[in-house]
Amino acid sequence: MHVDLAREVAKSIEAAAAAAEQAGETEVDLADVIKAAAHASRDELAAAIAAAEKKPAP
Amino acid sequence: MLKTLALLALLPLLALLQGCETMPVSLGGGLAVAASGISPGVVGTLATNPCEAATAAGYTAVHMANKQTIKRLAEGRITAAQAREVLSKVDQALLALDASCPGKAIDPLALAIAKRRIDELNQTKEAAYAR
Repeated sequence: MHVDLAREVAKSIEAAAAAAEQAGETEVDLADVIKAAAHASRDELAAAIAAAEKKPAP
Repeated sequence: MLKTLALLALLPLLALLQGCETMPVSLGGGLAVAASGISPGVVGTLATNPCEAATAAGYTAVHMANKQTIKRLAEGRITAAQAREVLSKVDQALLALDASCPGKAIDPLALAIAKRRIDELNQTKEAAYAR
Protein backbone atom coordinates (compact mmCIF):
# COMPACT_ATOMS: atom_id res chain seq x y z
CA MET A 1 0.00 0.00 0.00
CA HIS A 2 1.30 3.44 -0.91
CA VAL A 3 2.04 5.53 2.17
CA ASP A 4 -0.32 8.30 1.02
CA LEU A 5 -3.23 5.88 0.84
CA ALA A 6 -2.20 4.29 4.14
CA ARG A 7 -2.43 7.74 5.75
CA GLU A 8 -5.83 8.35 4.14
CA VAL A 9 -7.16 5.04 5.45
CA ALA A 10 -5.68 5.73 8.88
CA LYS A 11 -7.34 9.15 8.98
CA SER A 12 -10.69 7.65 8.04
CA ILE A 13 -10.38 4.98 10.72
CA GLU A 14 -9.33 7.54 13.32
CA ALA A 15 -12.31 9.73 12.49
CA ALA A 16 -14.67 6.77 12.71
CA ALA A 17 -13.11 5.67 15.99
CA ALA A 18 -13.50 9.16 17.45
CA ALA A 19 -17.12 9.30 16.34
CA ALA A 20 -17.78 5.87 17.84
CA GLU A 21 -16.20 6.86 21.15
CA GLN A 22 -18.27 10.03 21.26
CA ALA A 23 -21.37 7.94 20.68
CA GLY A 24 -20.38 5.62 23.53
CA GLU A 25 -19.72 2.71 21.22
CA THR A 26 -16.77 0.34 21.46
CA GLU A 27 -16.56 -0.99 17.91
CA VAL A 28 -15.95 0.37 14.42
CA ASP A 29 -16.92 -1.54 11.31
CA LEU A 30 -13.94 -1.00 9.03
CA ALA A 31 -15.85 -2.16 5.94
CA ASP A 32 -18.34 0.65 6.48
CA VAL A 33 -15.47 3.10 6.98
CA ILE A 34 -13.91 2.09 3.66
CA LYS A 35 -17.26 2.29 1.88
CA ALA A 36 -17.94 5.78 3.26
CA ALA A 37 -14.42 6.89 2.34
CA ALA A 38 -14.91 5.73 -1.26
CA HIS A 39 -18.14 7.71 -1.59
CA ALA A 40 -16.63 10.78 0.09
CA SER A 41 -13.58 10.78 -2.17
CA ARG A 42 -15.89 10.41 -5.19
CA ASP A 43 -17.57 13.68 -4.16
CA GLU A 44 -14.14 15.29 -3.68
CA LEU A 45 -13.19 14.24 -7.21
CA ALA A 46 -16.41 15.67 -8.65
CA ALA A 47 -15.77 18.97 -6.84
CA ALA A 48 -12.15 19.06 -8.05
CA ILE A 49 -13.29 18.51 -11.65
CA ALA A 50 -15.94 21.24 -11.36
CA ALA A 51 -13.32 23.65 -10.00
CA ALA A 52 -10.88 22.77 -12.79
CA GLU A 53 -13.55 23.31 -15.45
CA LYS A 54 -14.28 26.78 -14.06
CA LYS A 55 -10.66 27.84 -14.38
CA PRO A 56 -10.00 29.95 -17.47
CA ALA A 57 -7.84 28.28 -20.08
CA PRO A 58 -4.23 29.54 -20.05
CA MET B 1 -3.93 -8.05 25.20
CA LEU B 2 -6.35 -5.55 23.70
CA LYS B 3 -3.61 -4.27 21.42
CA THR B 4 -2.91 -7.80 20.20
CA LEU B 5 -6.60 -8.37 19.52
CA ALA B 6 -6.78 -5.09 17.63
CA LEU B 7 -3.85 -6.09 15.44
CA LEU B 8 -5.43 -9.46 14.76
CA ALA B 9 -8.65 -7.71 13.81
CA LEU B 10 -6.76 -5.75 11.14
CA LEU B 11 -5.29 -8.84 9.46
CA PRO B 12 -8.44 -9.57 7.40
CA LEU B 13 -8.24 -5.98 6.13
CA LEU B 14 -4.79 -6.69 4.77
CA ALA B 15 -6.01 -9.79 3.01
CA LEU B 16 -8.93 -7.92 1.47
CA LEU B 17 -6.82 -5.04 0.29
CA GLN B 18 -4.82 -7.49 -1.82
CA GLY B 19 -7.58 -7.20 -4.41
CA CYS B 20 -6.11 -3.83 -5.24
CA GLU B 21 -3.74 -4.91 -7.99
CA THR B 22 -1.66 -1.77 -8.32
CA MET B 23 -1.00 -1.57 -4.62
CA PRO B 24 0.55 -4.64 -3.04
CA VAL B 25 -0.26 -4.88 0.63
CA SER B 26 2.37 -5.33 3.26
CA LEU B 27 1.88 -6.32 6.85
CA GLY B 28 3.87 -3.25 7.83
CA GLY B 29 1.20 -0.99 6.34
CA GLY B 30 -1.49 -2.57 8.48
CA LEU B 31 0.61 -2.31 11.58
CA ALA B 32 1.23 1.33 10.78
CA VAL B 33 -2.53 1.85 10.71
CA ALA B 34 -2.86 0.10 14.04
CA ALA B 35 -0.06 2.19 15.51
CA SER B 36 -1.49 5.49 14.30
CA GLY B 37 -3.09 6.42 17.60
CA ILE B 38 -6.32 4.48 17.28
CA SER B 39 -7.60 3.29 20.63
CA PRO B 40 -7.27 -0.52 20.60
CA GLY B 41 -10.54 -0.78 22.47
CA VAL B 42 -12.33 0.98 19.64
CA VAL B 43 -10.81 -0.87 16.70
CA GLY B 44 -13.36 -3.47 15.89
CA THR B 45 -14.07 -6.08 13.32
CA LEU B 46 -13.42 -5.49 9.66
CA ALA B 47 -16.66 -6.85 8.35
CA THR B 48 -19.75 -8.12 10.04
CA ASN B 49 -20.74 -10.32 7.13
CA PRO B 50 -19.14 -12.00 4.08
CA CYS B 51 -20.70 -9.49 1.72
CA GLU B 52 -18.93 -6.56 3.30
CA ALA B 53 -15.73 -8.58 3.16
CA ALA B 54 -16.29 -9.25 -0.56
CA THR B 55 -16.77 -5.58 -1.42
CA ALA B 56 -14.15 -3.94 0.83
CA ALA B 57 -11.34 -4.42 -1.68
CA GLY B 58 -13.47 -2.88 -4.41
CA TYR B 59 -14.30 0.18 -2.34
CA THR B 60 -10.62 0.55 -1.52
CA ALA B 61 -9.70 0.43 -5.22
CA VAL B 62 -12.31 3.11 -5.99
CA HIS B 63 -11.06 5.29 -3.13
CA MET B 64 -7.51 4.96 -4.40
CA ALA B 65 -8.56 5.87 -7.96
CA ASN B 66 -10.39 8.95 -6.69
CA LYS B 67 -7.42 10.18 -4.67
CA GLN B 68 -4.92 9.53 -7.48
CA THR B 69 -7.10 11.36 -9.98
CA ILE B 70 -7.62 14.36 -7.68
CA LYS B 71 -3.84 14.60 -7.21
CA ARG B 72 -3.04 14.33 -10.92
CA LEU B 73 -5.71 16.88 -11.78
CA ALA B 74 -4.35 19.32 -9.20
CA GLU B 75 -0.85 18.87 -10.60
CA GLY B 76 -2.06 19.48 -14.16
CA ARG B 77 -0.98 16.02 -15.27
CA ILE B 78 -4.45 15.18 -16.61
CA THR B 79 -7.24 17.34 -17.99
CA ALA B 80 -10.67 17.87 -16.46
CA ALA B 81 -12.15 15.88 -19.35
CA GLN B 82 -9.90 12.91 -18.58
CA ALA B 83 -10.78 13.16 -14.89
CA ARG B 84 -14.45 13.21 -15.82
CA GLU B 85 -13.97 9.95 -17.75
CA VAL B 86 -12.53 8.40 -14.60
CA LEU B 87 -15.37 9.85 -12.50
CA SER B 88 -17.90 8.24 -14.83
CA LYS B 89 -16.30 4.83 -14.26
CA VAL B 90 -16.09 5.51 -10.52
CA ASP B 91 -19.84 6.17 -10.44
CA GLN B 92 -20.57 2.93 -12.28
CA ALA B 93 -18.28 0.96 -9.96
CA LEU B 94 -19.83 2.47 -6.82
CA LEU B 95 -23.34 1.79 -8.12
CA ALA B 96 -22.47 -1.84 -8.73
CA LEU B 97 -20.66 -2.23 -5.39
CA ASP B 98 -23.60 -0.71 -3.52
CA ALA B 99 -25.93 -3.16 -5.27
CA SER B 100 -23.78 -6.14 -4.29
CA CYS B 101 -25.06 -6.35 -0.72
CA PRO B 102 -28.83 -6.03 -0.69
CA GLY B 103 -29.97 -6.78 2.84
CA LYS B 104 -26.44 -7.82 3.86
CA ALA B 105 -26.58 -10.86 1.55
CA ILE B 106 -24.27 -11.26 -1.45
CA ASP B 107 -25.81 -10.79 -4.87
CA PRO B 108 -23.35 -12.82 -6.99
CA LEU B 109 -24.40 -11.22 -10.27
CA ALA B 110 -24.10 -7.69 -8.89
CA LEU B 111 -20.74 -8.57 -7.36
CA ALA B 112 -19.49 -9.93 -10.70
CA ILE B 113 -20.66 -6.73 -12.40
CA ALA B 114 -18.91 -4.67 -9.73
CA LYS B 115 -15.64 -6.50 -10.37
CA ARG B 116 -16.03 -5.85 -14.10
CA ARG B 117 -16.74 -2.16 -13.45
CA ILE B 118 -13.62 -1.88 -11.29
CA ASP B 119 -11.55 -3.46 -14.07
CA GLU B 120 -12.98 -0.89 -16.47
CA LEU B 121 -12.22 1.89 -14.00
CA ASN B 122 -8.61 0.75 -13.72
CA GLN B 123 -8.27 0.58 -17.52
CA THR B 124 -9.75 4.06 -17.98
CA LYS B 125 -7.57 5.44 -15.20
CA GLU B 126 -4.38 3.95 -16.62
CA ALA B 127 -5.22 5.17 -20.14
CA ALA B 128 -5.84 8.70 -18.84
CA TYR B 129 -2.61 8.72 -16.86
CA ALA B 130 -0.61 7.46 -19.84
CA ARG B 131 -1.75 10.23 -22.19
